[in-house]
Amino acid sequence: MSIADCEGEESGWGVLEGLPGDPMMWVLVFSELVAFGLFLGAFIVARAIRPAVFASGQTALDLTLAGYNTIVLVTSGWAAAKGAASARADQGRRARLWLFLAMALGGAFVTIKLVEYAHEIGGGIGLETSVFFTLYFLLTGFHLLHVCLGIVILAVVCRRADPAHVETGTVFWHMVDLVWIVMFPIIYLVR
Amino acid sequence: MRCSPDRLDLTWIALIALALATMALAGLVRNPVLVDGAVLAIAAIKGRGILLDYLDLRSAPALWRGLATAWDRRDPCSGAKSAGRG
Repeated sequence: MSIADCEGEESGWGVLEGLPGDPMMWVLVFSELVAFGLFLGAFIVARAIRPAVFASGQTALDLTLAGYNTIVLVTSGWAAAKGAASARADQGRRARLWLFLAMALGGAFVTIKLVEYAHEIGGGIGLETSVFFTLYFLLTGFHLLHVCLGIVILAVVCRRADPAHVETGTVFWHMVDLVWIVMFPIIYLVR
Repeated sequence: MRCSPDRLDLTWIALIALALATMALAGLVRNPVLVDGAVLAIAAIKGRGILLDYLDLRSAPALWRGLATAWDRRDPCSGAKSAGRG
């Protein structure tokens, strides 16, 4: 067996092949989904144990700002998907414009979330107010960090607009989008 | 098969409509268990749209489609159960 054969075998990703983007990104995405799944599981169990604390905590949250953020992030995901489609069609300039829009909307999400935090902290709410707010700040803060990281990843892949790189970067962005879609009703809406 | 730009636009419009429907439902106070169920069902539909069209898993191996959509549905279902108890 030649060295080239060995390298060919080592580069095989098995079941991860056939997924869009770099398989290594999917390893990261699945590990992130497990982490967020455990966090959300802890939130759900804690709510089942102390429903009154969670019900009163929810009333202090700004549902309108969170709703705006859902629309902003869904639109950002759409722009990122359009950017990936443009990159695949070898329309580099167009891909960059879509990715800029996705990043700008990501920035808007971060700004809205920080305004929401400011209102809550200004109202005397903190990490130690109750178990609801401990989990709320940890979960949404962890997600916010991922949004910031996603913006950096989009900025990096945007420079050259290489189709494979753009596809890999947008996979991470859609994971962030998906997590918010699941997190939003569980934290803000379900009583 | 790659997701066409037209399909992406349709998915985006559907996701925005579902997000607005969620906000409208959240304002209803009657029958909270039913409202919670509807909100979580909408979240599962939105998650499926992101997975299949934005993430382009429509053409991915069935194993990954199944795993990812199972993650999307697992937490909302758990949430509905705890809401029912609470």
